[in-house]
Amino acid sequence: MSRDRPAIAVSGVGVVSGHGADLEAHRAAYREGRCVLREVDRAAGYHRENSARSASLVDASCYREVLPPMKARRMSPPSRFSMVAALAALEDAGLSRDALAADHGGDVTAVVFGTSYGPSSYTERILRQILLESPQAASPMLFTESVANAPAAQVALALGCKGPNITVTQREASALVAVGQGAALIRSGRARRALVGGVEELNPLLHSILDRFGALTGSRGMARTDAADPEARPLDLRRSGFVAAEGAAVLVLERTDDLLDRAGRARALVGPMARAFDPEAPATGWGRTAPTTARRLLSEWRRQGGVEGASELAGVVAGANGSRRHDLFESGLLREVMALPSNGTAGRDPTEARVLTPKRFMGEQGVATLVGALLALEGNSGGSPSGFEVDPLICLVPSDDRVQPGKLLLSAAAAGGSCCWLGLESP
Amino acid sequence: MSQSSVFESLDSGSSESESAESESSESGPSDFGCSDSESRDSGARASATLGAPSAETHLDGAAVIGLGAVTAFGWTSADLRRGLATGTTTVREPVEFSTAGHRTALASEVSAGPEPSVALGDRVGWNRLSRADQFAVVAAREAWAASTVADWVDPCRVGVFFGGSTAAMAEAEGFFGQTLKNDGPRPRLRSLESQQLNGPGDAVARELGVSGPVVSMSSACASGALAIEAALEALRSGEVDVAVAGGSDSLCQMTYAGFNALRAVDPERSRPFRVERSGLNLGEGAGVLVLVRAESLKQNRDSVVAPMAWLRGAGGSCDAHHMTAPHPEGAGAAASMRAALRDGGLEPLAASFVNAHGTGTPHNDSAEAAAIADVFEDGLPVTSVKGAIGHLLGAAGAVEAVATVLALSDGAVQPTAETKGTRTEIQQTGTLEPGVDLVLGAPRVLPAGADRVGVSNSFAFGGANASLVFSTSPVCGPTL
Repeated sequence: MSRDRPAIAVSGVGVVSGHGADLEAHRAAYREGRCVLREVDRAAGYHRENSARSASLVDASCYREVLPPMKARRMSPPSRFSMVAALAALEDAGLSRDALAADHGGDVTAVVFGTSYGPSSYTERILRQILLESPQAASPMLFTESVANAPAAQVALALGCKGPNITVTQREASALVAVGQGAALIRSGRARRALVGGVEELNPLLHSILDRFGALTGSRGMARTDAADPEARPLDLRRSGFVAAEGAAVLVLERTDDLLDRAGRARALVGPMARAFDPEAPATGWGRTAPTTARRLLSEWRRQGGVEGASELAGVVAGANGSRRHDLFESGLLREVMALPSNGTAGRDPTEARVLTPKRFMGEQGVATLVGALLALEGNSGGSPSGFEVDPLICLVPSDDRVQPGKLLLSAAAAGGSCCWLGLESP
Repeated sequence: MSQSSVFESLDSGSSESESAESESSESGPSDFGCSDSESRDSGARASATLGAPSAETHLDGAAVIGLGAVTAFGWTSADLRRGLATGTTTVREPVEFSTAGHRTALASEVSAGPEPSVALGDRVGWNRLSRADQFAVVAAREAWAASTVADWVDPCRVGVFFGGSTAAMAEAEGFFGQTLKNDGPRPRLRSLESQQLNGPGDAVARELGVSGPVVSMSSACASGALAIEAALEALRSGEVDVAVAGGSDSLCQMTYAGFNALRAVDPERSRPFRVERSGLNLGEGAGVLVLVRAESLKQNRDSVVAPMAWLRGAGGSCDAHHMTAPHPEGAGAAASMRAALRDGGLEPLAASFVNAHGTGTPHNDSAEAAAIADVFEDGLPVTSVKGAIGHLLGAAGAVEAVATVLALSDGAVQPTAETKGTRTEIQQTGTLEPGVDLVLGAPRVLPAGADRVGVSNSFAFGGANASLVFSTSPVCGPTL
């Protein structure tokens, strides 16, 4: 990366998930390595009898004080999550709505969010109106809030952000790509500041579909008891699927010189972003191996100024979620930067870099990687996975140790073939 | 502009671009078979204060070397070119899409397409694609073939940037409708395989076999333009040498009912910028551009087709005013156009015409007219293709970018489809939005011999705006 390009800092973060709407709750959950699971409402009859039952769901009471029901009444759940996270991120950055509006009339602040599925419950509700009642029963409010960019628009509207407004929809890679796109807007001079991140909503219909695809920890398709769904085991030989999740995380990105001018604090610096695609991947899954894709990722990563090898990394924050195919595929990509042989020797931490798996505590949502990385850079250590068993085809072992200050590589491998690496580093 | 003159322009480029080329040629292929060329440094852009002109102008654009389009005029960009030139409309009662139960019964529907064996290679199973995916893949293949980049480009250095608003919602509606019936077998999951907002972009990348970045965007009606903007950014940064950029959307019950619920739909054929307008007509289709870095154009001058136009700049803004209504004075729209011109290093005076968002809704057209009057001098030709092919939502910005490039390469701005009255009658009765010089009746020929610049606008729900600036030359017009 050219030294002339302005450095971009993360100056604030806000997050809402099954753990609540404050960062401290996420710190505690990260340290414990636990995921909060709630029972999914199956009353609509979408689920199979022996379906998965739980997910990491947001309890709306956690943000009622920040976003009172009267203010939230015209917002879809993802718009609400995004608003709550954006307000917290601004506060964390020491900024206010008035400060944003006063800065060139808001023209300098971009909003770039990522989402996999958009507002799924409002989409379901309007489709029920159309299909069960009549097309003329469609609610205009549900319609405008069912579009994927509704969360980004609501945040811009509420905070007076008049810079570019973009919503990225690249499945599991959406949030990382959104951060990279936001940083690019600042680097190119199209924006001076950006609210970036991701948001997901999990409604019962989406949960039931993921279950039918066999993607969830509890959806093995075999006879089941009333036992709780098993926990997700990222990278583990016994992994059986992921925990579906919802929530949002918003980061404030600024130029470091702007941050210095206002005596702000940097949580992290944004590093390079590399993206690639596996053209052999199925539309809803991951290919088996993708050496060309991995080489493209590493080549672009280094061209953008990324580190040469794992020894220069403080850690790798994997998108590993416990899915058998996903984790195997992603590990193939990560082995490129770790310079491991494709059939490396199994063992505890065979790599030079720490491998973090934050989806163990936040479930499958793209922002988990971002939140986990920022918590790791704070110096938190993650909770130990219980009884981890190495998969000889993966040979990566999650680390619960505290990472040293330095550079992190965040990884996302989306269903369908899109992949993204993003760098975050200690300020 | 001829190919030789294009390369002469490139050869006389700034020292910065020569430096970039030098760096690029030194790097060569990496150890991994993926080329590892150095990016042009965008530091000069970033160092400019926001709102001030960028220091960089020359060679900062991307060459458009391939076009593809699927619209109700047909499954090629040639069909779109011929259709738009006639000033006729494709809006009618659709055949395959059911409007039963809706308040209105008009749409611009794509008719039956080519045989899969003609349309596709072996990589993508045609029947597994959603309708939106099919539009995207066919348009991309047309643009890809026209560009001939497959002869020289490293697939690792090709990115796909795609916009859409609903992707395979039409197919998902079938799945959900069957689920709700709850009186038969569960619907097959296969019908949901393509129901992902990243579906069309992924399908294009799979079909072309490329492994650079694939990025999908869904910012409602600005999606296609924003995807093209993202492609330009990736080309400028050196992340890719070639970008396949566009958008695709198909008609579905949700958007048809939704726009009806908002009372944003004209029960008759839409009349962009006419004072009696009362709404839009929905449409479907896809538009794709193949864009190439100027440096790649130079390095492969023996293989590359002559550029049809140049994507000079792109800009975005947000109204931050209302979820569905534009800022009444078009403040966000004006900011978007100014940002795009500034990004391309051009003064508003350089513009030859505007391909407007021009939906035909009362609010949009008055706000956009105010914005155009604010940014440009009087008398700038304005056109809207939405009267001819409907509003393609997430694909609109992409198809309109194709139309803008066609206008530049043909030297004539396509007319806005007339639905009532002749051009003379319309002008004499004063039924046009004040301040808009709408192209009506026949294509408006642009001044011969001069470099030409076209601005294409896309404005979306939630106030997201995007503007693209294309020109006939990599360096032309009054620059900043």
